[in-house]
Parts: sequence; structure tokens; C-alpha cells
Amino acid sequence: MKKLLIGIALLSLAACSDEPDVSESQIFEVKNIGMLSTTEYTVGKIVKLSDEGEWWKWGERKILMSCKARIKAGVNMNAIKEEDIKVNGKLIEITLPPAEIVSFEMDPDQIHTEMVDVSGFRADFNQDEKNKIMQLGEKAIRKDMQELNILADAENNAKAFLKDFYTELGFEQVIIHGTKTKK
Amino acid sequence: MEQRRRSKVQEIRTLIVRLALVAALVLGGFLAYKAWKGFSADKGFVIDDTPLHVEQIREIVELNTVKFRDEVVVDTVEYYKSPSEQIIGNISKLKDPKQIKHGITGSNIERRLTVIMKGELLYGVDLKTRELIVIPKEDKLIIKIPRPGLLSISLTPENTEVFVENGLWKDYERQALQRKARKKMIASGERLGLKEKAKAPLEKLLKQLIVTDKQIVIEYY
Repeated sequence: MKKLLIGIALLSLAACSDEPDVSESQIFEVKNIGMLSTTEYTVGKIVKLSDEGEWWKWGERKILMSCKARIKAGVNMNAIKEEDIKVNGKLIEITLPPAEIVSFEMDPDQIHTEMVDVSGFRADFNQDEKNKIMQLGEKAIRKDMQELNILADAENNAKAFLKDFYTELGFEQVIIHGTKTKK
Repeated sequence: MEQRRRSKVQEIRTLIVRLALVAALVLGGFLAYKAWKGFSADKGFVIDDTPLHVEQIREIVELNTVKFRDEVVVDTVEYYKSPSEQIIGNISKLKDPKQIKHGITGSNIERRLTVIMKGELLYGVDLKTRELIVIPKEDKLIIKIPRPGLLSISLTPENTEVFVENGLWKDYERQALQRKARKKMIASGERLGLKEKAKAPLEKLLKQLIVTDKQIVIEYY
């Protein structure tokens, strides 16, 4: 009887129950925009985590991960209304909308596990857990980013570009006003 | 005899009631503990506060005119080569709490990693590498501008979901799968002709910015 039960258990572990195939599908959305990106920051962060676990999990896990993020900022040119551009002969006066973040990229190839230390009966970090840790890293970067001058730089660079652009178009005096940046 | 039988039944009843009480107490204690600690089994990670290093600041001039949001599912599977390998593999999965569910089904899949990725692709022109040229010609203003292209692909961990992770996977294997997702996004952008579609909003934007009585002619180079 015992042998029969073991046999059934082993057979069940060798059963041909294929997991369903995952169809590699795609969903997409295309949108017209009008962003003038003028600044790109590349930042790096070390993400440090110590997972002491719960009382029933004996042991500790530690991980150090490094990552890089590339952030582009600029101004939304589509937000410039007709009344924001004033022309008086060879003088042009423009009021720019506030600078904003255009794109935020964390290249998966730039995410590395630098160190892992697992003790006791704890299991190693799997890819799902590492992704969750990196999600926290991303949140921290987005928060810290607010302390950077990226939006001010983007606005200044946009002003410089537009000054050159309108000078090339034949304007002798170009005045560009900025709007307070949203942080 | 009848009295002995009745007392035995009574004893069993008492035992069952006591066992049920103990089980209820254990369950109640467990639930109270979970409620106190936060109910989810995975209470979530907390990372340490580390500084952000600015590695590079670059001045760029890009006119982004098309934003393409894409979501792709990428999957990679490896099967057991023989029934004996399948039995041993599934037994070894039973030892790992994260893999028990895969071992217990007795599946013939040795390893599977399925990732869902959302990405944002920006198309437009890079005016830092190739300049915008303005040529006034009689009653026309000729604007020579580079052809639009793909300027950035934004992939982030927040937009990444590890949907299935069966077996043990290394970082480089996950990265290879994410590169596959990235390629798929670029391919769909190509298929949708987004470089070409970026031209119309670009021309509209330039015409909106250029204040002139002359006729604006936009040429790509």
C-alpha cells in the first residue's frame, strides 16, 4: 500500500500537465506631442536592503543593487498659446510653459546585483523580488530627483535654443519669459 | 455495556470539542498576529536611504512629436528532457517555498520566466547632432530639418512585472528577456511607421512657432 502511494506521488510529479502557453501579445497607444527636450541627466543609485524576515523565518538576507536612470526634461511647446507669442517688428516676446520631465528611463542592462548575502534557512532573492526592490529604487530616484536642478536647466536651455532659433529667423531682439517650474 | 459505550462516545465528543477549541485558538492567534503585523504574507521590502549620484548632465535639443506607449509579454521556457529528470526536478522544487507550487503540479516545464513590460518610445528630431537650417528665399522660408527617428525608449522597473518565475533565473537571463521586449517595441514602432508619422506634428509645431508672412517650406535631409 505504502509503495503504491509513493508510486502515485512520483507519477503525479512526472505528469505531463503542460502549463498553458503565454501568448506574446502587444497593446499600444500612439499620441502626438510637441516636447522640446533640452536637458538630460544621468544619475546612479545603490539600492541597499536588509531583509530580516518574520519570526518564523530563521536567517537574514541582504542585497546591494546598482542602477542608472536617464532623465530628460524640457518644455511642452504645444502648450504655447497664440497670446504667448507677441511680435512687434523685429522684436519677439515669448512666454514659455513650465519645464517638465519628458522621459525617465532605467535601462535593464544597467541594473546589476552587486552583492547578496543569505544566511540561515532563507532562500536567495529571485527575479520577482529583485524587480520589486528596484521598483522601490525607482521611487527613491524619482523622489530625490526633485532636489536636482533638472527643470531649471531645462528651462534655461530651452530659452537659449529659442533665442538662437528666432535670431536665425531674422529677429533682432528676442525676449523669453519662463513660467515657475512645477516641482 | 450500554453505559460503557455511551461514556466512550461522550469521551470522543469531548475530545473532538477540545481539539476544535485548540484549533480555533491557534487559528485565532495566527489571525490576530497577522492582523497586528499587516495582513499580507509578503509584507514588502523597505530599502535604506542612499544618496543619488549625478553622473552626467548633457544639454540636448530634441523635438519629440510622437509618444508611443507599448506593452509586451515576453516568455522563455525550458522543458525537462526525460521523465526521470522531471521527477527529480519537481521533487527538488518542493524544497524551495517559492517553487513548491511549480513542483507540486508535476509540470514538464523545468524553467519558465514570463515578463510583462510597458514602455514609452519617443520619436522626433535630434537637433544637437544635425542642425535645423533656415533659408529665406524670396517669398518662401525654407526650413531644412533632419528626418525624424527614435529618440528614447523608456523602460522602468515600475512598468515591469515578473508574471511567472518557475525555476531559478540569473540576472543576465532576465536582462536578455527584457532586451527581447525592447526589440519587440522598436519593431512595432517600425511596423506602425512612427518615424514617418512624427513628421506631421513636427511640421505643425514648426509652423506654430515660426512667425512669418512668408510661405514655410519644410524639407527633410
